[in-house]
Amino acid sequence: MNTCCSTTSTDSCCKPEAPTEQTLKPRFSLTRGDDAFSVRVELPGVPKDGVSLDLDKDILTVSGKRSNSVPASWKPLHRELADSSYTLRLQLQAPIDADKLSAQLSDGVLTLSLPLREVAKPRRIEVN
Amino acid sequence: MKLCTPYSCATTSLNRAQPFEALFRRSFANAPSLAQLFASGESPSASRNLRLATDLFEDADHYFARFEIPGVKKEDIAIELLDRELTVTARKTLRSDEGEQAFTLTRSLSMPVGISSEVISAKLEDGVLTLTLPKPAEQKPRAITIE
Repeated sequence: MNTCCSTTSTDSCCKPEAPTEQTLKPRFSLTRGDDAFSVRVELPGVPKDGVSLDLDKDILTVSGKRSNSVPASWKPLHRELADSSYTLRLQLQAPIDADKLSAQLSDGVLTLSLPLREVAKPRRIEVN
Repeated sequence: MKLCTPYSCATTSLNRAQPFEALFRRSFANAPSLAQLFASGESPSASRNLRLATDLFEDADHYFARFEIPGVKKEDIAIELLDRELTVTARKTLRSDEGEQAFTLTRSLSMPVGISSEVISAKLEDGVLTLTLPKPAEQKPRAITIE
């Protein structure tokens, strides 16, 4: 399920990007489990060292820089794909444990696991 | 003096220029509606067909076609050349709490005369599929010297 500004999702909301940036917002999906957010971001054309993650308070920025995959000798005949890099900003509505954040990139898909901090986990209270 | 390349003067080499022009016409004729694009991530329906976007390039000896297919393993990609139609099909499965969603992404391109399936090479890297199609020998521009 895709979550975005226009949806009623309470989990996250993407901040509008600065108009000067020539970046593309990647397709992504976000799910919230009991103890972690899990985010899947499609970053085709981005090698492992082109991905950067930045957590500033509650805003997670995922940037993906494409490798320069088109050699200068290739003459374009027809273009449909964008060449721009990707930026995705997610505002997280629950505190996450930045130290335990894990990220994996395979086949152009970045999978993030953002563990929630203890305080944000649901607690079961036993009734005696 | 130089002979025309197939694209610089279509009138004198119609038979060569046409197949590749067809590729351009096709590209837009098959464009999905907006609704189709937006539906891609949401609907839990079992299977749907979506069109793959493509980039086409050429250099002196090759044509190149690129497709963005993030999240698809190479086992789930089929590349077929039948007559002069090259078809790329990718099967994609998204897993979520609501279950699995299967998509088929596909795209057909008309190829110029003389491209054979044996010489096409394909590479999948970071979710981008690149096909390399060597141009048939007679299609390369040839410089002819005047004696």
